[in-house]
Formats: sequence, structure tokens, C-alpha cells
Amino acid sequence: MQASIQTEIEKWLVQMRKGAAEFAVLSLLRNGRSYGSKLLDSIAEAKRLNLSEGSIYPLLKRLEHDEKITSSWEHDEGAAHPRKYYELTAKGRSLVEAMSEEWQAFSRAMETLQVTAPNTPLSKAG
Amino acid sequence: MDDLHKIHVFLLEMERALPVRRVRERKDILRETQSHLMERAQAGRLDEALHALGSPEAYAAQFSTLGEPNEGPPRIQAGRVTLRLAAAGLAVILLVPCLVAVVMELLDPAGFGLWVSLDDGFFVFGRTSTSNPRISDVAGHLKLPVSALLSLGLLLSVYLSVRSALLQAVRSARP
Repeated sequence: MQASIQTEIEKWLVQMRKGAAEFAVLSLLRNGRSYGSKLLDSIAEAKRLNLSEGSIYPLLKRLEHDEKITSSWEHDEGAAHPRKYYELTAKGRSLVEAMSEEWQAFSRAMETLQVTAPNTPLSKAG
Repeated sequence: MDDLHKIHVFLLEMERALPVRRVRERKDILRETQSHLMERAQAGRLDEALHALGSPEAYAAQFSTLGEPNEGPPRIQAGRVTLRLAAAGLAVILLVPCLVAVVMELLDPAGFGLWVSLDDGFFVFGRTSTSNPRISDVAGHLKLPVSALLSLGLLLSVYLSVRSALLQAVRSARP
């Protein structure tokens, strides 16, 4: 029973993380330009997100193709190799702002549901 | 195996498996992967990073739908197919007289040509009587090689235009 619930939770979390990955990356870029490894490290700090190293670059590439972010190669002083920096486009900025509003509304709705659900009587047919 | 060698081997295998056609896009993906792995190697976390990426083939496969340029909305894609088919049609229209010229030149090299009237300067392209002393074939021996080359070029254009239109149509039909 416990193992089955754990499996279900894992599946559910995978779906949630898939949906949240794009929002997480765009939100980080809202604070300023960054590169892949740094974005990964920031996301890793928020342990629950669990975005893998193998997923972030295809995701960044997709966001770039969708013109939500733009990139440029730069060689930072002291760095041994060039880095690809990403930043939000105007489209990406508008999108992440709208996503943020929706996310907050969604969270509030879920919290309301969590608070009220145990006391909500079940409707009976007939 | 040292870190640089491990990165080199990973990138080589990834490059072979990368399902992206555009050269610039391929280079960009590989360069970013290299940059990431070097970053991790500097932090002493290369093995962990390679393990997280998985096999080079599996990692490369994640770029399967991402490496191609944005094809645009369906109307633009349909427009591209139509434009390529129109280019093929135009090439066919130009190809027909060129092929006729090749055949005629082979069948009747003396009577077929680009004739100019010595009396009034008018040009006529086709067959005429070679016994008329008042006209002259200005194309001479160039007719066959020129029309054959033009035919080959136009045939190639037809092939490339139709192929490109079909590929575009297949890409547009993908979900």
C-alpha cells in the first residue's frame, strides 16, 4: 500500500516538475542573464524541482527557438572557456509575468481547497 | 582516462547521434555541452555530470525536435510548399523548349538553329531551309552543348524544387 502510494506520488511529481521546469528557468532569468550550469545549480538548491542536467539544455534550446529567451556566447574574465548566456526576450518577460500571476492564483486556489476540503460535505445523488 | 579525453569521447559520440541537420545548430549544441562539461570538470564533478547526462546517444536524442528552425504557422508553411512547386513548374516550362532544341539539333543539325535574316535582321529559332542564302545560323556549333547544359540545369532545378516541396510538406504534416 505504502509502496503503491509512493509510486503514484513519484509519477505525479514528474508531471508537476515537467510543467514547472519552464516556469522555473524563466523565473530565474527574470532576475538577470545567466548560463546553463549556473541555472542548474540555482534550481538544484530548490531540491523539489529536481531538473536534471540532461533536461535543461534541450529546454533552453526549445525556449530559444520559441523566442522566449535569447543567447550569446561570452568569455568571462578568468573563465577557462566561453559560456552561453541566456536572457529573456520581451515575449519571455511578458510570459513569465503572466505565468507568475497564474501560479499565484493557482496556489491560492489550491490552498483554499486544502483548507475547505475536509469540511465540505459530499453531495449525494438523488 | 583524463577529464579532457572523457569530454572529447562524449562529444564525438554525441555528434554522431545528434538528430539535428543545421550545421550551426549542431555546433552550438555541442559547444554548449562541452562548456557545461568543462565547467563541471573544473569543479571536480565531471563523472557526476556525465552520469546525469546519460549515454551520449540518449542525451543527443533529446534535441530531436529542438534543433530545427521554427517553421512558422501552417499558412506560411503551405505558402513555402506552393512557392517551391511553382518554381518546379516554371523550370518544367523552360525545360521543354531546351529538350526540344537538343532533340532537333541531334536529328537535323544543319536545318535547326537560331537564324537571323540578313535582309531585315529578324531572328527565328527553329528549322528552316538551309538553301536560303539570305539567312545565317548565329548559334552555330554552340546550340547542342548550350541547350544540353540548360536542360540538365533545369532538370536539376525541377528535382530540387519538388524534393524541397515534399520535405516541407512532410515537416508541416508532423504533429
